[in-house]
Amino acid sequence: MTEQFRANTNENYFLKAEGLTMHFPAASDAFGRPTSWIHGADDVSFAVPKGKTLGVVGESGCGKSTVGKMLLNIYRPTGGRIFYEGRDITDLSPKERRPYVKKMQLVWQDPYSSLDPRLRAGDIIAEPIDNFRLAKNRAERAEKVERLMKMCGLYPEMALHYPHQFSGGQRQRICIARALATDPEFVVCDEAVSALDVSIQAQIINLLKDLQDELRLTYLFISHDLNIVHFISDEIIVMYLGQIVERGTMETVYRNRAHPYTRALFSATPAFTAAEKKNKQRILLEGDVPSPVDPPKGCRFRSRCPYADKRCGEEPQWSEVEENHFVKCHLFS
Amino acid sequence: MEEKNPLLQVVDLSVDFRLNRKTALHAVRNVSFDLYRGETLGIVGESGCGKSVTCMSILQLNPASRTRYPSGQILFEGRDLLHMKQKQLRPIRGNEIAMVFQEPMTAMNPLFTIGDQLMEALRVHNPRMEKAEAYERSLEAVRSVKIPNPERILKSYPFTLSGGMRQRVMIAMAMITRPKLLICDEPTTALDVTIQAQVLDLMNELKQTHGTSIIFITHDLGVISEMADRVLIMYGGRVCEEADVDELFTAPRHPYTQGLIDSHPSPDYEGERLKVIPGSVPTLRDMPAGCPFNNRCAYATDACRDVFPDFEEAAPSHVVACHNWRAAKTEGGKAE
Repeated sequence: MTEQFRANTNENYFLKAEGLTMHFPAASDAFGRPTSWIHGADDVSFAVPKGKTLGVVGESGCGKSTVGKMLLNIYRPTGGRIFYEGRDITDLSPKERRPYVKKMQLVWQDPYSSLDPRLRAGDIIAEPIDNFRLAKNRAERAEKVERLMKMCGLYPEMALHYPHQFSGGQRQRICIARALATDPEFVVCDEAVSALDVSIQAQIINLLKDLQDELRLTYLFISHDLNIVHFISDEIIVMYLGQIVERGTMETVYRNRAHPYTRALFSATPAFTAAEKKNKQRILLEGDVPSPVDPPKGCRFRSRCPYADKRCGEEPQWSEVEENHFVKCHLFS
Repeated sequence: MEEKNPLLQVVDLSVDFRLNRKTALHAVRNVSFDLYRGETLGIVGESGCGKSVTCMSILQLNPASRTRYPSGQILFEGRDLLHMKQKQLRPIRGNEIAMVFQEPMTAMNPLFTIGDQLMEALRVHNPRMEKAEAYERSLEAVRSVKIPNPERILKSYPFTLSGGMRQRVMIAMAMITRPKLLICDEPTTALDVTIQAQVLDLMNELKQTHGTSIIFITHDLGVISEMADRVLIMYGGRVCEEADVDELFTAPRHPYTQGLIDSHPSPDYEGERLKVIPGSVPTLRDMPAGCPFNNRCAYATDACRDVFPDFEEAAPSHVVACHNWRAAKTEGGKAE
């Protein structure tokens, strides 16, 4: 990592990850000792400024969800540190962690499996309120639920309905209302709109944007849809096989894609207006993403990279392409 | 040229699903379209719009006991597929018309090797084919979808392949009998974008070498604009607009199509918020009368709540079913 990159992440950021690493045991010997590891995430560092959105893009298995889960302590990282407003929250005891659980929430991908089918919508939204004892009495609880439902575009009368009575978009609104019940400051949206129909996606994205303006939320927005990430994010990290390969502000990365993988990823997104189609050059990658079990040394993209040469056998260092735009590739060192 | 007669003609197709003795759901209503040789027709719509049901009807793959076809004809080279007996359909299914499904894992038999399944497709339609010949053809098919090391792939089981590989095998399996028509139901939805790009590229190449006609079902407008020649937009079981692909994306006429295109964040969109279609897709049970889109449409009038509009020609080979498309057109023009 270059000095500039460190300097950039060391500013007084709201949420910061330093060298986050997550290795899952893949196979073990006769004594149960792991012999090989799935590299879910390797040396992932980033920082999110308060009230902004950090987009995380990459293909399945690149570790983007793993990163989100590590931040929320769903996975305990095998290495690295997480700082919340400057305080190290990596190894807190459950009791010490509790205030941070309240401040950091999650919206899942699939609004069909993330809601308890036996609870009414109102009770689902009230669950975090009960859990953290945020309401003094039933009236206050009901009032809070009503406010949350209105805020997320649901009719308060629907509080008595069960999840199966709602459409996909409405369910996702319930999930968002539930995530906001504890007045969080930081929300991880893990493919929060991927399971929805196109016309509903736009509604949910607008809702997330409005809520961000209103409540000054900070988002980690995980998605494989580059158009959506481009629309909603202020900063972006591009991941490949457990590592960040490029990071920067959304506009710099979008205008001046540096890493060969980023270029291929953007060019693979189908264009749709005629103008876009015309000036688009598609870079087709060969082959599949290699297995994350004991990935190769050096640059992990080299097996599919059209520019790969001898240097790529060694791990590339971070280089600065321009202000606020970093890439991990030998082409730029 | 033989181009006079379309390869496939769907005429006024309606499909009902019977729930019990009293209620039937109207899944598809009065759908008509033509498909010519070597052409790709894209069918776009959100979940429940009837796009899959329409295509399943072509090969009568809807659950037979509950499905009724109150009206319609599906003419494949002049033969009506919709009123054929199962036995008559058998030489057509998988042979002249093949299908590629969304989830390749559930579409393959996990207990047989890829080679067995490819050879089965050939030998079912041609029982006299020698095993050696079938093997050769399978090898060639796997090679044509650009899978490295085809001999090894033929010996492996579906679960050992990655999603992209499996979908290629599915395409190989569908193309092995050289069908005249390939129906693809969301073939790339489960794949990553870089893999999707590979598969789409491959399908375009196969289409050019074999001259196969393709019906391509998807909800992804981007994929459609790269694959299709003509596009059918469906909503609530009905076709609301049909046009050539470039025409459709530059001059959409139906308010639903406009909304669908606008709600996609395109990279050069500058606004703070996305334009949205209010409300959500009604279920088949509570589909409104008249135009199914009327309760979400900004231009809806009383006429829209009473009768479904007739198709009008908005431009040459561009038809739209909307009472108020002229109003929508000027509004859409302002927004640009």
